[in-house]
Amino acid sequence: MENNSLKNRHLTTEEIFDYRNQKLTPAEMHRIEMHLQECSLCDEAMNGFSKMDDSMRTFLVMRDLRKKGRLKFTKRKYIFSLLDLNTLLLLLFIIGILIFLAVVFLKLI
Amino acid sequence: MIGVLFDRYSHLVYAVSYNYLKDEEDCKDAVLHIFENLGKDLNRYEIKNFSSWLHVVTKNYSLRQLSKRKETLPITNQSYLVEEEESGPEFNIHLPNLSKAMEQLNEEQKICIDLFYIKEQSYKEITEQTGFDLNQVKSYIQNGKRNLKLILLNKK
Repeated sequence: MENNSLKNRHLTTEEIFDYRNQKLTPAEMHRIEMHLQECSLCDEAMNGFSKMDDSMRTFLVMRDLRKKGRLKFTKRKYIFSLLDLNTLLLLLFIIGILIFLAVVFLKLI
Repeated sequence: MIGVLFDRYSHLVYAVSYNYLKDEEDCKDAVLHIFENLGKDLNRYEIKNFSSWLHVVTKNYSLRQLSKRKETLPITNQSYLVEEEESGPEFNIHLPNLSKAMEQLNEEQKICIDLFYIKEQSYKEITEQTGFDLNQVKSYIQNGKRNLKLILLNKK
């Protein structure tokens, strides 16, 4: 579990799952409970998660939701994320070939 | 900016709305609807505490959807909607005052407040030690904390 303070942030899905599945030490559980005492948003969210029966199913729903949200709210970032290193190298390679063919063609003329 | 907020808060909004709607697709729709309107709302309202504002927006949206679904409450009647809680006046805990105030709590609240805040035990450890169930522990801590605050504020 992330060990950074919960004073200036909210619980992550992973922390909530680890807490629900009792994967934490008593000290880590106490740290989360201290946050729940102060934060009504996380407290009610924790209640909501406890009503979802299948944690694997919930995990998949969260992943799907995050994907949808990224597509909807971070379009520009999504487009740039498609341009990963491999795609960039391929593009540079194609541009190089086109330039080479253009030079050869001009010399032949 | 909405993307960053979505990454930070969407799982919490989803889970809060699940308390009311109890349906995956409805909850996903709730999250997307709330974040779609976030840009407009952020410009329109002066928001002091974003997370408690978002909590209230989520609850109200879910309650409205629920009333539409059940068709028991007319849409115009919005008296059931929740308002954002005003945060109370700030107070500094003065230790001698705190121990005196602790004496005024009932026995169960005193035990739970001591174990949770002073001995830093988890809910589970407190249930094991006291024999109270989880809901009792949570409620003794919450009520004890509220009573302590009232006692300390009245002493000022």
